[in-house]
Amino acid sequence: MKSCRICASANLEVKEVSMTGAVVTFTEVAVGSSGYPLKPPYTLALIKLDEGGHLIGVLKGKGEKDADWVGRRVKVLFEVIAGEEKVTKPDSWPRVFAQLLPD
Amino acid sequence: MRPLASIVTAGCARYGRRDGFYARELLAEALDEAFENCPRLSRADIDALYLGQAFETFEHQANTAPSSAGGYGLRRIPAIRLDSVSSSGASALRQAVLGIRSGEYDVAIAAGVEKMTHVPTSVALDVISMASDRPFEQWNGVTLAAINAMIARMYLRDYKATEEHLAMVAVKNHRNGFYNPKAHLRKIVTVREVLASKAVATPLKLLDCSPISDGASCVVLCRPELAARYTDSPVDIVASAEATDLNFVFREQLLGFEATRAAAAMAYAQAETSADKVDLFEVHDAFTINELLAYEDLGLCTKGSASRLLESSETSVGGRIPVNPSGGLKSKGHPVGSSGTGQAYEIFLQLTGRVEPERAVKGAHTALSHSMGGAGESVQVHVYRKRG
Repeated sequence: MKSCRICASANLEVKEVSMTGAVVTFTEVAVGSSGYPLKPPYTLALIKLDEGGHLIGVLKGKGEKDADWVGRRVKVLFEVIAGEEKVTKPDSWPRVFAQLLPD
Repeated sequence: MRPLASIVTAGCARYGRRDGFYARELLAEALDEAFENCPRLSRADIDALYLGQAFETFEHQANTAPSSAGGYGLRRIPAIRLDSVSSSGASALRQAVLGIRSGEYDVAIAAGVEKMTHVPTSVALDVISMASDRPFEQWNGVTLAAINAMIARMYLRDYKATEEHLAMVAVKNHRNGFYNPKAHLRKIVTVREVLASKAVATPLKLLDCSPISDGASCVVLCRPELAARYTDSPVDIVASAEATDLNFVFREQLLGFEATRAAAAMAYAQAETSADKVDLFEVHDAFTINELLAYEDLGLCTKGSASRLLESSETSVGGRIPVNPSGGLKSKGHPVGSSGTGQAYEIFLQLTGRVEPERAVKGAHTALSHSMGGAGESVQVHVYRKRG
């Protein structure tokens, strides 16, 4: 990549990120689309990564309880769903999940 | 100030579940109304057709624009389809305005259409979710409702608004749509009913969401100096602005829509006006939260005070600044590609005194339409003024 795809800056460097962050907002999805393999209900969370930037993924590890997840710490996971190992680009991307970390 | 273009007539096919019709037949229904109400206009006057339609594939049909034009006796003219998802109709309107303004065309049709109720709901939702980013949003379980739900949760939290406020948007717009013969959901709803409707993506419930609808609408535009040839009561378009933004997940600021603010600023400057001088608004309310955000982004009130503006009833018909007297997407319906031109149709009727008295904005002179594609990725704002 020669320039940032968001701000067009050419001043780029590769940096490792922790992939930890916090839940900014979330929703319990009750009505899903046919295109996503997990069937609702599932909890979708928008994560602000500690190093900056956002990712959206399904929240894991919340057990049976429904709660206010805003502010909760998470570890972002990229997981290949069973059966999708051979999916090729443009859909080769692993799916994003957010594992809740202990309080 | 010189208008950009003038609307001389308009039409709208009834929104709803229209089994047994192709999109082009719904479009023909809208065009019939426009021509019937403007006897001095003939098909031979039309120089171009701009058609907003998001998802031709619902009908396993491509090339809808030329086949719709040719199939309606509009032969050999340029006919092009535009897609900006939920604001496709507004994109068609803007391109028609630009076509007129360039001097290339004297008269052009801006239309919008969508036929989508015949596919299973989960498939329709999957297709609509194509509006969001494939690898970073859709791929990870995002639906358009889910994005708006996450925005709604942030909004309620940051500004001490409640789910009742979201419900009040639905109540207001259903009350307006009840009196609109073209509306899909013509029923009065109460706050209690909205709150009790089943969850779609918390905190949004079924009655916070616009319905999946079939429908079509159109406006016929001409160069301002030619308007008198066709009608004694044209409506001038005095601003046409458009802006885009990154997909939701890539934005630094998640609350409010930058594209709306940018397009509104351009539109107010072009029209030499401001929010407080506009008599009525038709805004994007695919989800109830969108209308609250539109109040703030369009400058009807300050950031965080939309719920209080709504509570004041000032945005109801009869209030100081009625919003969505048509019923909005919420009650009138949301045939995706038609919603933008549907707003222009409503404004043409309002400013020429042709709407049902229960939802008429009396004495309205200036109006604004705000259409949004996706979760704020594409926004079009138009300002309209009654001639004279």
